[in-house]
Amino acid sequence: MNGRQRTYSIRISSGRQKLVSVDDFSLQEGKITFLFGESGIGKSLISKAVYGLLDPEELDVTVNGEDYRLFLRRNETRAIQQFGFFVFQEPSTHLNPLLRLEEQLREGSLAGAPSETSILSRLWDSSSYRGVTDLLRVYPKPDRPSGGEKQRVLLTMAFKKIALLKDTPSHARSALYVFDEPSGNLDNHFRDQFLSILCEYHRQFRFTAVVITHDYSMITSLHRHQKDMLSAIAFREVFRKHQRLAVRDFAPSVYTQWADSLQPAVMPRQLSAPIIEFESGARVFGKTLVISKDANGTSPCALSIAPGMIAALKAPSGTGKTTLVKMIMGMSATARFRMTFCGEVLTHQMPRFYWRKHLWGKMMTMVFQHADEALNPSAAVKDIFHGLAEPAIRELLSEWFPDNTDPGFWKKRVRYLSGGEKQRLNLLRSLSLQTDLLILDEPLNGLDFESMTRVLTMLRMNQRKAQAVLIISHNDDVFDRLVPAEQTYYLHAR
Amino acid sequence: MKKIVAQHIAGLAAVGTVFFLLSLLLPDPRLHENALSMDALAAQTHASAPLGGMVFRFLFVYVAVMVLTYYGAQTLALFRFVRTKQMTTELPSPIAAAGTFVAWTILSFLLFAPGYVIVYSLKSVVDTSSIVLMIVLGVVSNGVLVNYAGKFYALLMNESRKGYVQTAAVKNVHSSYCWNTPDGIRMRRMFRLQKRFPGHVLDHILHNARYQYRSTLKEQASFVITGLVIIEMALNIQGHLCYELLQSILFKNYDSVLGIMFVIFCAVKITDLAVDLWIWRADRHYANLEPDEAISRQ
Amino acid sequence: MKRFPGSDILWTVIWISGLAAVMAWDSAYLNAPAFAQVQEAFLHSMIAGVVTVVLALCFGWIAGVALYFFEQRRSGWAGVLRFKLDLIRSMPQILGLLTGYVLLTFFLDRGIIATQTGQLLWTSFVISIFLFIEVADVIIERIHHYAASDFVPAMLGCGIGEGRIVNVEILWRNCRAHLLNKAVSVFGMAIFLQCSVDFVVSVGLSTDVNLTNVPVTLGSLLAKIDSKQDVLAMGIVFTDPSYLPNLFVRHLQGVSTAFVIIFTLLCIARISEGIAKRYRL
Repeated sequence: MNGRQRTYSIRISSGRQKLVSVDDFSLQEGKITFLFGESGIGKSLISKAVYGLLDPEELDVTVNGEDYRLFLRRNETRAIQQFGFFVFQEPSTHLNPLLRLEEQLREGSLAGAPSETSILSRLWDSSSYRGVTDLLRVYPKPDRPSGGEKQRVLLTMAFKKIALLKDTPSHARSALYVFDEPSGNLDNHFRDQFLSILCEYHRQFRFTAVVITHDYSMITSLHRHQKDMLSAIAFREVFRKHQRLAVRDFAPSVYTQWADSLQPAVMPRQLSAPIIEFESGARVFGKTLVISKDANGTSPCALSIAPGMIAALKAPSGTGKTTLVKMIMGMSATARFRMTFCGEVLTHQMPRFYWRKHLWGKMMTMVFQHADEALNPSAAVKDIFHGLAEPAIRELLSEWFPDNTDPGFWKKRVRYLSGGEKQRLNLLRSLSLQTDLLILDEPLNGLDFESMTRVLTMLRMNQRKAQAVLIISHNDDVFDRLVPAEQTYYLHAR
Repeated sequence: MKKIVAQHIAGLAAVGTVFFLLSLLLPDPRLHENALSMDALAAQTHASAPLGGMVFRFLFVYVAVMVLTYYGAQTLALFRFVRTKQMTTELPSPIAAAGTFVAWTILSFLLFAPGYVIVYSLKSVVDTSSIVLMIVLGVVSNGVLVNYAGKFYALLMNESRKGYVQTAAVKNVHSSYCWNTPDGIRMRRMFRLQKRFPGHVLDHILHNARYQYRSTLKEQASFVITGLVIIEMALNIQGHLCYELLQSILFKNYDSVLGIMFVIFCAVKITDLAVDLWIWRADRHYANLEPDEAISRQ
Repeated sequence: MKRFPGSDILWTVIWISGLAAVMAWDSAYLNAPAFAQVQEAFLHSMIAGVVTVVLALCFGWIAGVALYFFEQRRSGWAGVLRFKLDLIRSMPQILGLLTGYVLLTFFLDRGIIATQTGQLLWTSFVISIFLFIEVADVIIERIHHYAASDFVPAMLGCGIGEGRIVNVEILWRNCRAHLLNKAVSVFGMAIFLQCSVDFVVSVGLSTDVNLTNVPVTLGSLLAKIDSKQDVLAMGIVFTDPSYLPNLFVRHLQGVSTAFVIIFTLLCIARISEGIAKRYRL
């Protein structure tokens, strides 16, 4: 039942800047290819090139040695575009802010597709489905619908287009369905839901699809819930080899075995009083944030972390995890909260000035989720570590970027780095500050497998130096094993 | 909404106060050493009689120029945008490209020319006191049209690079920019007052660009006024509001200067208020605060 | 497009060579005193334009950054500053310039401003008051753009000072292209406004006050009686096209002044457009 293999050799450059060069990018027709690799390495660009989405005016592109304008006119490319779909990475910019969601779900060829109700009810649990019809009547705005909801709307569009295959099943293989970081804004429950719908349609139509992701925990999920599909799935990894990109098969067992081998971070010794105690019941945007140690939130307690401890904060996406850690950082303008930090009682009434003078970068620091936003794209690598000792940083850099032989790396501008490299720098900047409290928001986002292991090693080292760490991550494979259950806190919004 | 109105009224009051203080500060012309001749004073009192008519005429021209500029800038920018998009698929012959460049540059000379240059070169040919000429000059000269067409074009280009346009294309919403093909652009729709391209991605782009352009209207208002004032002053014809203004400045009749300026300022401020209310209303709509209210897309 | 030099560079070259061509033509066919005046006027206008740009950039930067810090500290001054900026924004520039002119005559009478340089500086100052808003808007918009993302909090969290983040990391490192683009368009606006106000005021003045002490600019040169005749002569071409060659020989002072003004405005607009295109602003 194996289909043809489509192989592409792609060159993309912008002016003198070479962006991507790959020789053996191949897709198995009728299969779902999961494409792993650190973010920003060029996975999206390759897929867009194949789908015919790049602008030949802006980029110099050749596919299989052919000028891109010619490639765009090929029947194969047209078929891909006519019957396929591309779910873009950033859901917030890919919805028209001046058009109601329901209209966006029904325009173009989607107008002829069967109703979206069944897909919606699965992507929004039946429990929370009631709100969907209201939601579809809104114009997409930055805060409502939330990132996860926007993502699910885009996924619904993709599934609607796939459902069109019912009338033209012969196009299933020639078309291409690309999902670029489909779970980037979804929590694990909805990620699994997405995977199950995808697999269901695939059993029906056997189409060609690519799922671009850096979320290795999808592997575990597929192994757990979609075992029968594994034969129709190819796991591939994009990596950099001598300034070029190459694609190799990725054995899922490498990841699953590593995840299984992780041990809980044990306390070095019984340590003194907690460094931070954040009281449950903080208020923001008219919601009360309840912290508890049980998943149901029945017995609220304070979030407290002792030196040398790693704690995790869990909640479905959109509950306010990031908002809560921003409160700890004194960066939430509208919140009302109370906490004890290093013996000092801090509330929302304390002036920002206090945090700036005593805490930021000295006693607490935070790694923000989006490395793209958190680092200055126009700064050089050395500027990121402004104020820190150069030799130590250089040593760390050579450790964290072992395959980087570029002597000019120290002076390279951040905008020319890949997303994974940015994320590593983002983490390094905060990890090397040696603050008493370190907050990590989705630290493994955008990292490849090896970088993930390095982050965990460094976390352990810092732990030995009595640093307290608070982690928000949806990668349960890693952090459920690393963080002891009594240090896992659940967040509920009421 | 009350806040917006209050802000604008406060602005008017503040400027009014400043003008009032200035009128107290600046010396009375009659006490001035270089007091103007009695003739000039007489001429002035004579001319200032139909002030109301002058103000009305000025405001009428202003409104007409604003509307025409809004329409013209959109049409011109849209045309240029579609041409740019067509150029990405079909490369024109070098001769045609060079021809367009030369023609566009010559036209630009007219569009960028300050009003007074055009006024003077036309003075011997046409009747420069006509109100139609005023309106045409107000739109075409001083770079008004070409500037705001440029801004609108930049907005269109910017929108066309956004993600939702790609998503729409992936949904097979029409995205060809050829003239008059089934999946392309109907040319006659380009010239309509209400420009709509249903089922085409340009409809999304245009709608978003127009939405963002509204705040530029305020800027456009004060620039249009600047242009009109310059043209009227340069025309140097008695009976125009700004001619009176210029004469009053030269004869140091400051009360009259400040009075006329305040009238003009009020016109801009009222436009600002109207634009702000319009933006406020549509923003509320698109921020999902008034879900049931239907707002026309224009 | 990408195979050609950027259109901003192209138009800079066109501008400079066009001006050089006019100067060469003038030096051959225009009488010496008039030629000297055209050169002087051009120089004055350009200097005033540059001074305006520098002042507008300074004022805009200060106002923009001050507004950010006031808002951060939730200071009441933020509202006051915003109100004032809005007020200047809704004031048509020409009215402001005329007010400035009224004050200038007042100062001249009192002897507060005596020199030509002083007059030029005053004009530039007044124009910059009404144009710095545009710079301030860009700066405010840029700072907000970065403050809305994780950019500012992430740096704050690492202990980097707020002043450094705003001035160095945001404005200097990331917004130079925006500011350059704005500076160019402010320069164009400054030339336009300065020529216009000089022209309209001089048209009236020619009957009244002697012009000896007023610095000659492109606008006031065009308003002189002989230039005005030259521009009027352009109208003759509409009825009698055979008169066209005369424009470039007999009416050179007015025609070349008008040409320099329009050509400069056109080129500057194109350069600004080119910059925006190059940096994807």
